[in-house]
Amino acid sequence: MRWTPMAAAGAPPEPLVQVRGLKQYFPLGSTWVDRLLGRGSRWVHAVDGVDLDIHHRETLGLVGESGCGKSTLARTILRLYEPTAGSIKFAGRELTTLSQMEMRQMRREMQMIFQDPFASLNPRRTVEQIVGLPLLIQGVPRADIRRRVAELLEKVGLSPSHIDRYPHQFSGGQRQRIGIARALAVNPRFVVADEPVSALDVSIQAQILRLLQDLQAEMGLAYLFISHDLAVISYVSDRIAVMYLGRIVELAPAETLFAEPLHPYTRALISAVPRVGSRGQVRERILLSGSPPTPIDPPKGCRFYSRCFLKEKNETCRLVAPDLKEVTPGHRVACHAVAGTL
Amino acid sequence: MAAAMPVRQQPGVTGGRRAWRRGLASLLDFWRRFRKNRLAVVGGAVVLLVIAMGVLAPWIAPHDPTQADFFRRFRPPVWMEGGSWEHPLGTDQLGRDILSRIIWGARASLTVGAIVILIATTVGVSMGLISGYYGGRVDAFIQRVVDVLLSFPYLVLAIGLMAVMGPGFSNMVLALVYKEWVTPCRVVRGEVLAAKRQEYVEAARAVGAGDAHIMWREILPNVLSSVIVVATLRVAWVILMEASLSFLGLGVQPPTPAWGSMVAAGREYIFQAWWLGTFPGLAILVTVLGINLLGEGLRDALDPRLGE
Amino acid sequence: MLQPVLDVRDLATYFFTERGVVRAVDGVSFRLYPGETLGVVGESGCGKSMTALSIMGLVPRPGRIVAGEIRLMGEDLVGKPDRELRRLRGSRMAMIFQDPLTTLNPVLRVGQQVTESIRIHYGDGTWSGGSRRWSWLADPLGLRRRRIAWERAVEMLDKVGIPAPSERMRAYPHEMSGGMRQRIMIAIALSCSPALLLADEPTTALDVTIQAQILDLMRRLQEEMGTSILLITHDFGVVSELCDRVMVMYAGKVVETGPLDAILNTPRHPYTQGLLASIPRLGDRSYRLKPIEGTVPELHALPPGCSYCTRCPVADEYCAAVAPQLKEISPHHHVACHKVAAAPAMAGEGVPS
Repeated sequence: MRWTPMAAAGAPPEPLVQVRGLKQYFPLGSTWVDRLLGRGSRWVHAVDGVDLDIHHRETLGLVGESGCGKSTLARTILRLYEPTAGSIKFAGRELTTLSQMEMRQMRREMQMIFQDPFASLNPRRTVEQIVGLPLLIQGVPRADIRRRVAELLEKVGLSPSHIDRYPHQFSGGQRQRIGIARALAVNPRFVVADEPVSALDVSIQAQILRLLQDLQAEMGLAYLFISHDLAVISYVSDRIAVMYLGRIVELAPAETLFAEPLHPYTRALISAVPRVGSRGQVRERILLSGSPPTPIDPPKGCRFYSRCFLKEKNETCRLVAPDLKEVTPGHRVACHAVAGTL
Repeated sequence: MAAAMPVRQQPGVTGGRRAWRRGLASLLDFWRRFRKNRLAVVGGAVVLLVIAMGVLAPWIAPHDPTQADFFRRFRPPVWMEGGSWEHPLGTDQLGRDILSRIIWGARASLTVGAIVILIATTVGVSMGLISGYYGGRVDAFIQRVVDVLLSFPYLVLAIGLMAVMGPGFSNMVLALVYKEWVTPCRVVRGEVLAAKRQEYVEAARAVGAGDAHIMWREILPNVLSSVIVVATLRVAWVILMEASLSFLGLGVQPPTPAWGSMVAAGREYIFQAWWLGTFPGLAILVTVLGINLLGEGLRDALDPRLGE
Repeated sequence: MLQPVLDVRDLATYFFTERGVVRAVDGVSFRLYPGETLGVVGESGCGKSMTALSIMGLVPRPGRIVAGEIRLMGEDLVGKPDRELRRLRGSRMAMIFQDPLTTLNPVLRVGQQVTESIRIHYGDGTWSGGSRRWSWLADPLGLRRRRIAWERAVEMLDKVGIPAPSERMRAYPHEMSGGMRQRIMIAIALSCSPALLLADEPTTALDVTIQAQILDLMRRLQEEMGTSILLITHDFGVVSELCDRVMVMYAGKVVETGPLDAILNTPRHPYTQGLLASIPRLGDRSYRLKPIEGTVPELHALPPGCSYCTRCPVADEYCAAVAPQLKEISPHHHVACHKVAAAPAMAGEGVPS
């Protein structure tokens, strides 16, 4: 079920998804005050230079706080947004230069599961129409769609007899299952799951996580799993990328990341998670001060500079943005102090 | 949960029969929800009654609505002194039976209302969808046109247009459509702006759906209930406009009976013979009220989420 | 024995809807002692928020309290006229909510919102900082009242860790981050030194690092001010950080209550056990989650017996027919489950099961 580098002898296999230097800026409408002062329009640097590989059958966890750009990154990889710069390769094919028609073909391979089980299903369409839509678009004959949708419902643990119902007739967990069925309808190889369990109750959350794991094993899926919940991320991921203000600050195999986090932000993040049975326990606790700076014209140097608690931080950190450097095999960090580039 | 639900029908039943059955089921569903709102049912009954009145006018009207009789001018309604069952609501200044004229007048009002709203809604919904969905320059252009049209008082615009085109039924329809599409356009645009930010639109795009699919299949069904409500409410408004134009002598031309021109004619005799203007006025009031009640009931019943 | 700050007995809050009576809170009893933090845990719809709103006297229509007592410092709140409840709200008891963005008024300055509760309760005898009932005679224009309120508000902002408090008093909510706004909410809630603070998912909408700050702040303020806290949350992690005792609710009823350690280490009710087994453990991938099967039953169609019997792995016909009562199985540890009562009571200290 889990992909390991050892599995492929010799040269490392080509990753399923390869992202290089990806940037996604959104223009912030310039007001008349800006024009009066001669300022150009300002930009939200939602994703600001991200390199990422996602391998076959692997789960890459992407964790970060709200506004760090993790959802934007996922949507840009699926080309729901047109990237500002950079390259996205899927199975060796460059996505950024594909036409809309070619992209529609590619969507057979890459699908998405959304966070909000209420907003992500059209209230006016039946389960058959919702789950069958990707099939319809890929040109599956209408007669086959209904049969296939019924199979999919069974696969995600819903009764096929519910095929003609509307989303409001289901509970939150059941709706999320519908959303999963929609994503799996065309047998994709790569699925982006954007906070798929954040809106669900604890017991339902566990059901959905189990379902996602089982489906991965059964269908050989690769997941990009996005969450703000470190415990959830640590449970599902093979490797984890930590994102802060549009950049990836640390990337490591799941066990390594929790055993020896290197970036100060990762360390603070892990120490901040309230743990069951932690009261009275003595443990290193890093309380970060303040909140992240705004992604509108973000700082030049290290994005974490304003909240960094390392003694070593200096002018280099403030002025020069650190690159994501491999410090031990498979463990990459973007920090001058850790990488020794101060 | 899932397993406990009774199996209602076997998935895999193919062909039109299934679709037909589903359509019938949802229609029954709709009626079940609609029925709960008593006032809406009353409104619907009134509207049906008025429609029936217009359609069956030749058979149910006691007199020819255009037949003048100078010996029977200004007869009062039946319950007043000098009234008779021959003319239950009295006669007008030319001795024509008011009840018959109201029954025939329903035709003009309803036809104008239905035709104008049908055309205006089709145009307005398309424009609103395009405007809201694409945004940018397309939106700016359509909305400027809308603003210009909105800046004219409705009646003044209609009178101006009819002054150019000349009075008459089809010209009146055109003059009203000319501005009437603006309302559904605005409503739909606003709803589309809200709906297109919904995650389900993004989800449709993520599976590769094109603009046309998203506009007509994903967004339109979600704005349709407000369109229907607005359309019914505007029918009432258009009937009033028709009455106003006919009142001014620009709409339905005499001797064809129309509620608006009847009110206009009655105005002159309001102190001597109040029934001339009052009964057609009441007909307008009751019809408009009925349509409004029906519209609100439809809105509630059309939303599957409110059904439970 | 110590007098409890809050003593709730057999509280029942029902909603009378078209589809039937929804028993949102159904016979809940608990006590909260001075300086203590009680965590109320459960999934959405279990009645935890409605319990808090019942205490505040803010149950929305078509719901109402149909039975029970809510004694705040000995005074029964059930059936009190709204005017008197208003006098107690904000002064003796206060509440903070999940979303600090929607609970602060966006068009009023922060200062105005923080001083509001102090200005209202100044002189009504509920706030010790205010003066006597007839003090308005000496202060007819309310200048003194305003000044005192302002000073107290600045003091509170400083206390909740807002830098440059006197300047921030003039800011609008949108100029602040989510964490800052929640600090403001806490400052408002604690401004009249209430004996009871009801915190409904106070950190759920916040990021992890900000959540840690707020939990830290709440712990510090409680030590300083001695407020009793009723903490409502779905997150066992937050409970572990802050609470002395825990109460687990399911479908409007308390299914298990006890000291924090007992609930976390030796949970006895199958629901509590199921919840704990559903939570992924940080940095540990060596196991599979064991989710609770099924979903919460509809509240207007609950089974006559134990509400959990539809999802319970050990339930039998007796469970479905007869509702279990809370029973003490070890000191201060109560469980409402037939299966637990049937088993021999555990000897002495809890042994991990």
